[in-house]
Amino acid sequence: MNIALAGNPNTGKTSLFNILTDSYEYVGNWAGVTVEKKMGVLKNNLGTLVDLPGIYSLNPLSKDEGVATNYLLNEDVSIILNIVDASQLKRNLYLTLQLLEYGNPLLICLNMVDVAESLGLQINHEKLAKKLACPVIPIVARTGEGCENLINEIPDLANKKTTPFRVNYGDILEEAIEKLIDLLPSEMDLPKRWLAIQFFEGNTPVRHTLAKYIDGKELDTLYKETEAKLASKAKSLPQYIHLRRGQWIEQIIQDCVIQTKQVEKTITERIDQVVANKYLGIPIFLALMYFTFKLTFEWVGTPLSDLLGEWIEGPVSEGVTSLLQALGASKFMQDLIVDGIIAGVGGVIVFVPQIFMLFLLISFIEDSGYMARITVVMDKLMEHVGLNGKAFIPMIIGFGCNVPGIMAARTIEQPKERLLTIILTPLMSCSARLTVYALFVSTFFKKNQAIIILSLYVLGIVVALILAKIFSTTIARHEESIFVVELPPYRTPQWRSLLRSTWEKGKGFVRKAGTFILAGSVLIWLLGYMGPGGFGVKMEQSFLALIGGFIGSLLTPLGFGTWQAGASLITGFLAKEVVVSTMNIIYAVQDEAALQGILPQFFTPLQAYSFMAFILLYTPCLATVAVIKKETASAKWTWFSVLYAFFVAYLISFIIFQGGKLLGFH
Amino acid sequence: MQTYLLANLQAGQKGKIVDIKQMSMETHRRLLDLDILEGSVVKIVRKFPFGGPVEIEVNGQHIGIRRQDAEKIEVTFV
Ligand SMILES: Nc1nc2c(ncn2[C@@H]2O[C@H](COP(=O)(O)OP(=O)(O)OP(=O)(O)O)[C@@H](O)[C@H]2O)c(=O)[nH]1
Ligand SMILES: [Mg+2]
Repeated sequence: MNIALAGNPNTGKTSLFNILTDSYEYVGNWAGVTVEKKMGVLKNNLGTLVDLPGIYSLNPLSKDEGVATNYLLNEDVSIILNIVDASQLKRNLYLTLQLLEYGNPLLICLNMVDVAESLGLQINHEKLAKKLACPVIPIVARTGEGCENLINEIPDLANKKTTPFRVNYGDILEEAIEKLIDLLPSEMDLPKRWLAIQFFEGNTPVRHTLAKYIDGKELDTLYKETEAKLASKAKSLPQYIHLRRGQWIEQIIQDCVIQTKQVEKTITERIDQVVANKYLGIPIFLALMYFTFKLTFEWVGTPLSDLLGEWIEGPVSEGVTSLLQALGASKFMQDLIVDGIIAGVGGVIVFVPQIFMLFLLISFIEDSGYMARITVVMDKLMEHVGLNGKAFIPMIIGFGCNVPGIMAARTIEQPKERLLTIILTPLMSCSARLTVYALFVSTFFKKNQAIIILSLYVLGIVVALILAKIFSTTIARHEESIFVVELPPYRTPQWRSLLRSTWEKGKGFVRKAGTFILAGSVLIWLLGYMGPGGFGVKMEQSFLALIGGFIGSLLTPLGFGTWQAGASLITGFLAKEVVVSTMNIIYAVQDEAALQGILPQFFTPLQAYSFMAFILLYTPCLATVAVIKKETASAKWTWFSVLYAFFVAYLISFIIFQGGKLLGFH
Repeated sequence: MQTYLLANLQAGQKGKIVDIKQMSMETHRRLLDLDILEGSVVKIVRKFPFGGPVEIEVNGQHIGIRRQDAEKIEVTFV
């Protein structure tokens, strides 16, 4: 049995899903967090629960909405759990009504009753259930309150036969609906009255379905005639239908909701006076980022990381060496494990504290409600470069990892803007690249770590904006754009869910350490161990030095034309952290602290900065390329993003190094 | 009755929508999704500088829209 969650965006569907299936999917306080369907086993083994992206109606505009309506209408769904935000009852009931008309067994989860209460709204849910002829259960999905009652309702509902709900749309439209129904064949999968209403509402997929049975011209004539007859009542048919529904909903609200008090100025409005201040909005965003890096690098992350480094370099690596000796492992195995795996993987693992710190702060931002504000603050700037303020959400998520960032672009309605956002999000500096910065700034820019890192993040954003301007006036031109964003109330993130979501994000990094980074380390070590002269050659005569030397020779104008730099860049394509592993293996040291001592022999601060900029901008990692392919469904655009990034990286690093030299830096 | 463009109202002022003129189909649809249409009472919360978006409040929900779209919405004072 499939049970689907449906409701407006940001109403708590995923929060409920997590409680009912004991899982942890992505929750955040803005509209459009969930962009694909997620399945889970419902408690007590009652069936499969499906979490879907939020929708306002059954007529999709954006890609994520398409995913939801497609599932609801085309898959075998036994029960729909309709999540309704109690603090925004009127707006939410438009979708409820469409679902009731559709006729699937429906259970209404009246969520956020805590918020409604704080606004002085009292909802009589029993009365509401009677009016809508379906069960209504009040819940607080954030805490799990009321969710037991919900589970208990489900078995009953599964066996219930329902008849589609009917609202009277007035004589003229009712007549047209009848006329349309008569034109349809007697056997249809979808309820005919629902199809007819959706057609008059302007639902494009429904129109395509109907066109299979009825001549397109006939459909158009019927639509136009009906609209003309109703011209005195509303500007268009969709608007007329919305008005009729609105009147009906208004009636219900009058009967079921009592406003007990008026709230003067909410906390949200007070916070917004500062955070979304007209002039200070962008400076505050930058200050927030600066603070994030201070915490990540200087105050918390790096000190912890140093401790971890000492531990890996000392006890762990010595312990493993003596263990291997005791086991009588061959010299080859000992070298592979200690100089290859521990050096390579350990060199990246030391950055776990910084990465988790960053994820904690990103999770806080996601759950607070700030994400929606930043889209409004940035929209004008983004509009200038042919993007949309909403593109900032994928970009901020991209700071954690580019893969979910690219997925998040699904909520952008305008297809060209979405495409641009997808191909530019990889320029956002992800947590993997952070390992490289962490290594270099603590070596070369000890006093100004946070500001140097901030400059790299800003460089990524600035390059993305410049390219957006170039691409949107050449290869991805478009005119009309949509920007309508909901600004939800701020919520204080709960510790429990913050830690959970930090772990969910950081888990991927730890998993990568055991897969890509491990494989990369072994590969690099082997390439450094073998050469044209056979096995166990000096590293300078290995295949690694040969390949790296070739790449390095191309990079001389950028300031890092060594075979070591060349070799570490190739492996960065696997996952950007592998750059650090490679350096640890090449320079034959096991942890960050020692590597910091050696690096200044090979890089000057200017060369180091140029190298970091190159790492930031060049070809996205394997996982990112795969998701670009999936989301654009185009080999052409995938190749394009791989190649342009490389050229841009080359150009920018060239400017930094050569320009820096001219200015007298070294 | 005297009508104004929503975009010309000051922060803190309220207007009742009397007409939404020609704007992109999709934007119009989104406004309808959020239950913003003729008859809705809209309050301007803040206007971002350099012709940036306007934040409005309708039925207790806060929404950001572009200035160009706010220029297509005609209101009367309430
Ligand atoms: N106060 C309160 N907050 C809630 C409740 N349920 C969910 N939230 C919060 O509302 C926000 C949105 O929750 P999600 O579960 O991500 O909502 P969603 O419907 O899945 O959102 P989309 O995937 O964007 O459509 C989060 O910040 C939750 O913590 C509730 O009952 N009360
Ligand atoms: Mg969700």
